[in-house]
Amino acid sequence: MHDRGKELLKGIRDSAVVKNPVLFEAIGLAPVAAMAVSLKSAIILAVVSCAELVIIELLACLVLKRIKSYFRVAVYAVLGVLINIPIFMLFERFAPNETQNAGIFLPLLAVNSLVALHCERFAVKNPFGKTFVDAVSASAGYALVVLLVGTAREILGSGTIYSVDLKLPVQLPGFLYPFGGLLLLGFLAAGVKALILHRHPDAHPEQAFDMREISQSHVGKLRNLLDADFNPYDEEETAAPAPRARAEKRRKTHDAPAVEPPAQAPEAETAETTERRTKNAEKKMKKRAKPEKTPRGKSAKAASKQADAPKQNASEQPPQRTRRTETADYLSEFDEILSELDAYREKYGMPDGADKADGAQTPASGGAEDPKGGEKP
Amino acid sequence: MSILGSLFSAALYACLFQNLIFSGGYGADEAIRMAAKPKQLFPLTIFIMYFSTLGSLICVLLEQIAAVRNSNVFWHALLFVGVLVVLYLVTLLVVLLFFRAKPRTVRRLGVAAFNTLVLAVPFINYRAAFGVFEAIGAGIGAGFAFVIAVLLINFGLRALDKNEQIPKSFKGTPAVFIYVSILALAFTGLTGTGLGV
Repeated sequence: MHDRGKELLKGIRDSAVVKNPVLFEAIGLAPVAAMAVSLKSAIILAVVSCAELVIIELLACLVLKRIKSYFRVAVYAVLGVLINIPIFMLFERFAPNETQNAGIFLPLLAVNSLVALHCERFAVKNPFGKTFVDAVSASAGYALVVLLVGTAREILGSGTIYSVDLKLPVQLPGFLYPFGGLLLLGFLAAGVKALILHRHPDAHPEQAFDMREISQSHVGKLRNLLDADFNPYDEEETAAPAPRARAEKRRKTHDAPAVEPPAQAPEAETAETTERRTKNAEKKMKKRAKPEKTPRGKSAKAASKQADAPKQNASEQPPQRTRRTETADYLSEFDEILSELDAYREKYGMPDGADKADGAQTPASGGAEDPKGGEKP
Repeated sequence: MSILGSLFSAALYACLFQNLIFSGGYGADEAIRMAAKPKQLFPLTIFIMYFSTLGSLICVLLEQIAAVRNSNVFWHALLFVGVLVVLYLVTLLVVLLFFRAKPRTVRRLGVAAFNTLVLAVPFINYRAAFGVFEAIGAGIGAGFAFVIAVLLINFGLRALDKNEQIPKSFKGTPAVFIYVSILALAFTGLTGTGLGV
């Protein structure tokens, strides 16, 4: 019971503070930066966001997890706007000026990234209780930040608090612009982070914002860029795992002790999927076995001559770039073959021991460094 | 000529003089998160530009109907989200059935279609009473605004990542927010509004 309480507290702390959606994950920034310019508008924003997050996250956990994630994101937007409308109407009745001032930002909350990310990362993968705790604590964390930023901006920018004049000698209306909101968010995040590091040195709030890929180039072939891994919701890729993920998987298989039973395939990796993979692999093998097509406008004889001719001319060699591309293609093909082998092994239940015996011949360190070492066909 | 002029001026307005991300704050979180993953910039921008332009165009065409034009902001919100949902579902079907897209490509569609930047464009058109060509310009401008924002933030993030002199509590998002706020200040200067300091 005591442990459960501790776990619950840790969950609340993580969702509300250590992984605060705005301060450390940079989610739902747009409404905070642009709309939270006074305490009243901050209250409206906080109420709408909290209601939206809690209701949609619980619905995602109970009902929406049964539909595909492609469709879920559209459902979140529709639900968001449907939840917004009655709250918006309510506020328009009690605080018409503030609702008017909120402008187009209240309707924009329907597509707040806070909802989609929390639902996809947490709600659809966890049971109801945990989802409820996450929804409430993340909403509380978000609302607290919104209220703090709204109050500070109203005091600094307008010299008032809840529309009561504070008669301050200096006002800085610049804080009412989005840059003012972002500046305050920056200092607030630094302050909260300092507090967290002081009280919980083992917590790492900076890990909530992944900066490991910032030095990658944004330039490249569009096809390659489109093929680059993109997983904002931390989903499991069921169709074809990325090469790096496959290498990791193979490395893990190698490092695992021999007595350990083979890892259970994920739910989506059913026999049907394996069969499809096998068929694809066979098709690919057949394709590879076929001779290359004769170039247009040349006879078959000439083409075969050309193929048989030794590569005497150095000038005829492909340029460096083409060769590199070819090597990359071969590597990716090799990687695909390895994954197909994995599929065969899963399908026919080949014992891990065979793999282990193969792997045992290679040095331990080599096995870890070169994941493809023990699985050559 | 006037068609080109209105298209171009709306695009310039959306990406430079009233940069939707820095001066308006729309889509700021997507821009900051994508700046940390520069490989995603162009694929995501293509989809963002597609949704913002097409969504903006369809919404402006629907605005021509008197009943729609006279409805209040709630109904507009419902209509604009509805248009985006339909556009998203149609694109999703096309991408899945005809291009056999991978899940990672499809995920980009969701992020690109449902964000504050894309939904803000029809609202801006509605508020500014933009015509068809201005709406197209605003949609294209939103895409370019995203590219400018992501590139500028990414350059800053790289410098921040290498900087060892940043205090520990400012490392990560705090420094990023302060950097983005300085960029936003610069773009606010382009809008021509005084800060009243």
